[in-house]
Amino acid sequence: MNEPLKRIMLVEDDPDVQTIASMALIDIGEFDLTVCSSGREALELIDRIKPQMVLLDVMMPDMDGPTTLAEIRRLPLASQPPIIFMTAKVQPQEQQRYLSLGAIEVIAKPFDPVSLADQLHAAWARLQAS
Amino acid sequence: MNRPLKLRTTIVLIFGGLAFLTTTLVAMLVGANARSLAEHDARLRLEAAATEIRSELDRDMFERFRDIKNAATLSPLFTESNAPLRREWFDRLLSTYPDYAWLGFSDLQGKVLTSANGVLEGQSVSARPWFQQGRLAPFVGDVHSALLLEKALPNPSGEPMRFVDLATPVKGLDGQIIGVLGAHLSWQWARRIRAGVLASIDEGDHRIEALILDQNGTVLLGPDEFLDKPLVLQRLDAPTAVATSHVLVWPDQQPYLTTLVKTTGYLDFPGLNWSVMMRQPRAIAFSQAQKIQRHVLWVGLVAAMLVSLIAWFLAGWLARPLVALSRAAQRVRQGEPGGTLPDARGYFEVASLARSLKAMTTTLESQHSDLAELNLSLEGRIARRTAAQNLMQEVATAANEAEDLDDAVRFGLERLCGHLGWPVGHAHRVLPGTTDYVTTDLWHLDDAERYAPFVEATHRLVFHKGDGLPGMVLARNAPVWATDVTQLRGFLRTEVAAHCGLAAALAFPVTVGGRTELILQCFADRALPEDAESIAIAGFIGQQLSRVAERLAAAGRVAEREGRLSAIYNSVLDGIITIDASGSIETMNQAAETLFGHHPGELIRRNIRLLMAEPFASAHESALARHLADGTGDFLGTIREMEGLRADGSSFPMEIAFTDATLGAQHLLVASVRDITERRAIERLKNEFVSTVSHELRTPLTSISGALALMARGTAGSISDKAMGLVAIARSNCDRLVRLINDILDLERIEAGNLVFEFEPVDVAPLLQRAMRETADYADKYRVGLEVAPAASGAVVWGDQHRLLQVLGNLLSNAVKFSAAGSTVTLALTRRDGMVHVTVSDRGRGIPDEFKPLIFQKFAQADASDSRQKGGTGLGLSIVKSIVERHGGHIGFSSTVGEGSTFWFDLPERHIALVPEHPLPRGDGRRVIVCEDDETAGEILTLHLEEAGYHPARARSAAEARTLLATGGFVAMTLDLGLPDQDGLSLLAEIKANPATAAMPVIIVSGRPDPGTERLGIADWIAKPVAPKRLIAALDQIGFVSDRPSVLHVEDDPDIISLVTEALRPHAELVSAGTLALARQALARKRFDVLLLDIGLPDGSGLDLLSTLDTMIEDTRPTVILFSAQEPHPDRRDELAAVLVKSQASLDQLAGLIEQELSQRQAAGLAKLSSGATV
Repeated sequence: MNEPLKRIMLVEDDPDVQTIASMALIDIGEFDLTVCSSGREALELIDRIKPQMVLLDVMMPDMDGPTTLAEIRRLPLASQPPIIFMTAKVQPQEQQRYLSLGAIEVIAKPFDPVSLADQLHAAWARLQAS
Repeated sequence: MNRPLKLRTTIVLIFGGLAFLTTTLVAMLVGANARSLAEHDARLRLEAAATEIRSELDRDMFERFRDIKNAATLSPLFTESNAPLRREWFDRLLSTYPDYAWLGFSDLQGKVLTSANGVLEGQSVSARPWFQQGRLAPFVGDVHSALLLEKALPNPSGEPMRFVDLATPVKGLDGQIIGVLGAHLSWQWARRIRAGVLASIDEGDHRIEALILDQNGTVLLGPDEFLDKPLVLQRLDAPTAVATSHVLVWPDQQPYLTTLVKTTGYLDFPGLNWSVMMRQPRAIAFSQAQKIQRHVLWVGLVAAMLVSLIAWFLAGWLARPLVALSRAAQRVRQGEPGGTLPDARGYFEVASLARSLKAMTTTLESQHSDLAELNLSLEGRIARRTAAQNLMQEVATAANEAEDLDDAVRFGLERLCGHLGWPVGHAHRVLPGTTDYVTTDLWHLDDAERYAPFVEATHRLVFHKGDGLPGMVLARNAPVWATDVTQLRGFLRTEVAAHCGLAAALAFPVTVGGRTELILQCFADRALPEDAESIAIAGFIGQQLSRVAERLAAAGRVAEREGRLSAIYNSVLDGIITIDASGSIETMNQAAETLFGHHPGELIRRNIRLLMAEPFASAHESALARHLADGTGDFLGTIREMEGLRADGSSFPMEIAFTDATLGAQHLLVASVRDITERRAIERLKNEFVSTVSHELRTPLTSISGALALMARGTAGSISDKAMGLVAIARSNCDRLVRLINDILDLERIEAGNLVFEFEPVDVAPLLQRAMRETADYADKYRVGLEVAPAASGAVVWGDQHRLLQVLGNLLSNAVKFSAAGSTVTLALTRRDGMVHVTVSDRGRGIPDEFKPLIFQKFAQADASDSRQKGGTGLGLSIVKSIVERHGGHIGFSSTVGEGSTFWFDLPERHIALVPEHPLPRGDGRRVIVCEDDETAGEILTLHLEEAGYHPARARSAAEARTLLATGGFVAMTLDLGLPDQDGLSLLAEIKANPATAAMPVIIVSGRPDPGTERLGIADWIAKPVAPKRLIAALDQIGFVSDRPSVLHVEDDPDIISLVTEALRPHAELVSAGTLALARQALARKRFDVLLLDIGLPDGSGLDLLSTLDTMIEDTRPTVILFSAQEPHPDRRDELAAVLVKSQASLDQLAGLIEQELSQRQAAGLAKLSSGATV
């Protein structure tokens, strides 16, 4: 399965971060990016978009990152995309927790928009390898 | 029957006896004498008689012989012619001597020529011996019977005639024998002699008999029975010339005195050798003697009787006064009236005896009466003494048991008055603080009415020291007796006492702690002299009451102190629990009870671990055990945070610390408990706040820094250089802000002790490499080179990898920051003394001396502006120091200005070969190696495995895996094929090749597809990314057909769970579930060999699980053992392999039962395995 990573879904409520991340991912990473402002929106769109990877903000109002992940996982999708959390909570055990929830990676905020794309690629590659 | 004989009898007997004896003796003696005399006399008589007869016989015979001979000489007579003359002569002779039976003259031819009376004249006598002999010489012929003569002669007697022959030759004138003159003497002659003699000696019937025996012993004359026979007598001596006498037994068996004498002849008469025997019956012979004896005897007897009679009277006379005395004494003894001893009368001895007796009796009587008196008084005294003893005992017992002093005093007064028989008793009490006394209302009155005035008077009085009876008591501090209070000087109630009739009194003190507190008084209704005993009793009672008072006071003090302590103890906010060495709760203060929500006293003697949730309870127990065993560990004095369990099952965070309280030999462990829910909440809030704040701070920063980054990159289009410079400024400050926030957060957490480190073995060398890699970009920016000196490998420390990286990163970035461009920063690693020593050396500016002491402080920077420029926050080194110190290490530096600085830190070395830090699950055996080099994946797996009840150990390389395997004890292994130092498959091959590990199930975790499980002999192949649940399911399903079967214990009582776990630990792996729901989950997740079921569960009956079991396949269905307090309905009995009732079964039984069941299953299971079923 050596697909290249193209379709990304970003779930993030903060518009500024959306802008930054979008720029990082589209302009630099040249991904096909779908931006959702909430978990709900993500759930609605995910089946249609079928992203290869989901970038999931943790701290969101209404439905937070972990809940969204759980919901996604419950959806009867053809294939469940790998999910990467983004969070300002950078304690190792918190990160462990997020990993244990089923995310493949946790990216700390503030993130470097310049290297964001690379990080995603690296994660994708690791996933492919195993 | 041995009554002594009376005096009289004795005397009589003695006298009589003596007399009798004497008489008898005399009689015997006399008798003997007389007898011998009589004998002698008799003998003499008989001998004389015998001799006389003999003599007569001899004489007569001689005479006749002479006659004949003389006649024969008359020759002329015998001539023929003279025949008629002759005849006439013969006739005359015959008539003169009647003894001649015949007389005759025969011629030589034997023809009788002449005979007296013409008898036998003319007849021939030639045959006759007398003729034949007589012709020759004078002849005497022995007695014979003559037949011829017999006929011819008259025989008046009728007896056979016997004759003695006499013959002599007759010479004629010429001298020639012309014939024989012969005569026959008639035996009458002998008889006549005999008779004559006998007559002369025998006056009466003396029965003397005489016998004549011839020379042959034939009886010639005698009793008819002996006649003509030889006499045969025993012991008959030969006759002698002198008469001899003997007592001989004759044929008629009678003894006769027998005399024998021999005839001796006379002159020229030779005799016929006859013997004369005389006999007399001995009895008659000695009759005289016997008569005498008898006489004497009779006389003696009479005399004896007389003497006895006299003795009788004598004795009577002697005895009479004695008897009288004795009778009188008897009367006196029996106490008969008028019984006195007779006066001294009678003979001397009696008189003196009587006198003595009388005196003695008098003395005795008086002594007796004295004794009786004494006895009476003694009894009285003993009775009183006993009463006193009983009283004292009663009082002592009452004093021991008394709860109230007043009651005790009342009791004492009552008893004392009762004992003394006095009507009034009461008590005065000292007024506290004064020396005055007032009466209490403690009265004992026999008659309340009568003594009412006295009572009243007493109540009205206030005694001062020295007043009245109490005053005296006080002065002496001892009991006081007053013989008569009405006469007593200083008595204040004289009048009323006299009025009521009270006189004697006894007062005594009751002291408490040296001070007299009470004075008790008793009054009598009459004057009485001082009685030491009563005083002693009173003193005793006073002492007892003192004791009561003191005891009560002490008890009161103790109670007060206890109350105070108890109040303090219970008012404290923290819970205080005391336990004994086994953890059994002895006391809980109120706060503790409230805290845990238990009723007072509910938890006493139960184990404190009930108040702790797992795993804290077990951790507590092991820490306690270690502490008790060898005093090691930090059980005492350490504040631990754990989850406490309330009575309703809810848990709450609590802080607990144990301390030791020693009470003599006893060790009390005191736990102080604090509910830190609030604190936790606050902490949580703070953490959340911090977290939120950091997030809140970071989020806008994300946008800022992101925007700036994009701008800087040109993604948003090109901007002017000036603008770019401004962007750069903004960016660097933004970065700085981010770093600051991170540092603040870190530091805050470190300071609060909240920074959580995840310790694990960390290989330092690779860590250095990684730190270098991560700092590489930064170093490049400053054009500083990084290098690592060749490091000692195998240096392993126990640390948090992230944080150690943080340390290294910080030191490296500092070094880079302060190095000149073109210089190199060197990392070095050495091992020494069990420490791993890391150095970061730069050739930078160095640190000025005045700054050196401040270097690890917060926000301390040598040159603020400088550091700011370089982007430091000022917190780094303090964080680094904290981290290093949390790792048990030290940090330091050396620096020379202008030459550079070397920062170093030491960390204690850890050897991989050691048993891992976390205590191995105590023999549970569900240890699994997670061989995974990917940090994240490994973490995730580890977490999940732990959650599932396994005990995972991380290996990040094949080497580590090998090391772990070497320690043994792992039941399974997950193997990531992509290991850094070896292909996973080759490691697998190694594992399978090693007999020690060959049997261990290995689960491959890989991105590669599954080539087929069986070929490799592995348990399972799980594709990455590993869904942890998948892995756990795989592990579970391996089923570990090992020695350690699995038991699901469905039980809600933690005590039972821990007990059963403990009991089964050596036999099986135990998983416990406290509710039906949990049990169902466990059953769904894993296969169990045995289900240990309790019925009473919080969410239902354990038996409900049985229906769940019904859905399971036979193989996987566990054996069900019921272990419950209730017994199941008989209907359900079939579904259960065994039932054990909690109260009845012991854990040993349970363990044994489970073992049994398990071995049965195992046997079945093994059989199945060997038949080739897949694992």
